[in-house]
Amino acid sequence: MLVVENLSHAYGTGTHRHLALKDISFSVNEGELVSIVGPSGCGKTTLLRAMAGLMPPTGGQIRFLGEPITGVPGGLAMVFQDYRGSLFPWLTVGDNVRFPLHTAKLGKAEVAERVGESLAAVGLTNFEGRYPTQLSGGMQQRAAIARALAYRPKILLMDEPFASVDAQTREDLEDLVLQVRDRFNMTILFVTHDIDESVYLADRVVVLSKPPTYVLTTLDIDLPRPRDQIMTKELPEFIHLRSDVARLIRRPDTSELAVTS
Amino acid sequence: MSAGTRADTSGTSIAVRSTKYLSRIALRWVVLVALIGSWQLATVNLSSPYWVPPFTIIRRVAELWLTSGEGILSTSMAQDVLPSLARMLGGFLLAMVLAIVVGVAIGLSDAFGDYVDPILQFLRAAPPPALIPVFLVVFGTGDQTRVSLIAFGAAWPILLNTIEGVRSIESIKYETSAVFRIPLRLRLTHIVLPGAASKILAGIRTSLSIGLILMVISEMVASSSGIGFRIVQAQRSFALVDMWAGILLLAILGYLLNQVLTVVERRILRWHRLAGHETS
Repeated sequence: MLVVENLSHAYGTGTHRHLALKDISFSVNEGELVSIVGPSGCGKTTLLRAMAGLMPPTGGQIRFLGEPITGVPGGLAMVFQDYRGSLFPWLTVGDNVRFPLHTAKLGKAEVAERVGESLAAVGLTNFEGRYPTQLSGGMQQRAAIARALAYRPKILLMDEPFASVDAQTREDLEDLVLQVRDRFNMTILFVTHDIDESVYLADRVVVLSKPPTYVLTTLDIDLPRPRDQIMTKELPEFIHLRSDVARLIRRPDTSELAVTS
Repeated sequence: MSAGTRADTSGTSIAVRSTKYLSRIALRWVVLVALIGSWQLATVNLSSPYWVPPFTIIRRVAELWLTSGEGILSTSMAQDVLPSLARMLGGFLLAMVLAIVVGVAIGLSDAFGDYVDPILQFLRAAPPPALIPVFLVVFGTGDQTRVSLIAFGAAWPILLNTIEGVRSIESIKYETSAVFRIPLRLRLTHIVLPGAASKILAGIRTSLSIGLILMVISEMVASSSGIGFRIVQAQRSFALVDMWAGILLLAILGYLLNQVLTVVERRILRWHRLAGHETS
């Protein structure tokens, strides 16, 4: 569904040229939840912006549904880390969710149905008439997720969506992602710097190196579903997987050594 | 959260709260009333033709506005207030439309801003009253001159605030709308304008008083009607009560226009208030 081939990106030119992404290739198949994890500053946001068509990369290609991405493609939605900035404070929660549907040429009844359904899926049914700033951070991010759901995207990109909420809220929101994914059969690409989060959510984890960034490895996550914050995380497989990822990110070149020592 | 605290305070008796409210209003007005009272006493005792007692002025205002002349509108209403208001609002609306359109364009496009910035800085530096002769030459002595002078002077605060307001919108708002493929028209009406609204309205508030000033000045210089004309006329014919009445009338008008704007502002910035921001 989404194929990234030899993607590279450099900022600036000449002596000021800074190679952020060196060589990135991976793909996301329909119905998969793939997470991308890497050290801070590894160009995750650059990668995501390129995939969303917000910024043309300087090298390589991204194809979405077979078509090369040149601008923002249809059927793609995004949930940003900065929910406060991403929601429109002058629109109510309901209107925020409704706003992207203006262009979809839907009947009033269908718009109302989608908005209601999406708000219900994130547990914000009773907050439709509130303004975003009247809600807590976690609830604002729920509203942003509802907005993406109502848009019915073919793929949902999530850019470190829970990096600025507290730990408890974060776990709730992670489970919310898993729930809506099952319910709406979604394909999700989840970018995070949190190793536990990447393993807990995903079918597959793409591990990125420090910049200039390349793909260190791709791990299949065969943990049983449905996943549970406590039970899944105490499984030996989970602990192994998260440790593998952690070693790769800490010391990519000496990871073999670290395993044996 | 806020609903909870509100519910808590509703326990205190309504009587106590309304007494507090009334005493606050009384405090506000008591100074003004005392001032007018002592002014009245002083001027009555002085009985100088130049210092007119306030109640005489107030009576004259009521007369001019409500009872003099025939027909539904008083002569003063028809000949001075309405023409003045029409010029003021005409110029003001023109300023608003021009300033917001140009301001949005500059705010969105740095390149366009760079092109027009020197021209704007230069024009802005010229005090509008000094341009009255130019406007008279270009537009003649009709209302065109007055309306365009008001528009010229009132446009600046709105323009500068619009530019600042548009520039203050975070880029993530545009990225979000790009991801959801929101068309340009909707981006303008649903993101750019509301995002800049509080700044634009602050500019409009400043412009309102500038518009009023320019209205009076333009009417004093070259006009045969309007409140400004009436004030100068009264002063020249030693009708000092009428002069003071004209000034008081202007003050009332300015106050009312400001009140109207406050209501409009509260309406538009409802979300802003609910978010706990102060709207000045």
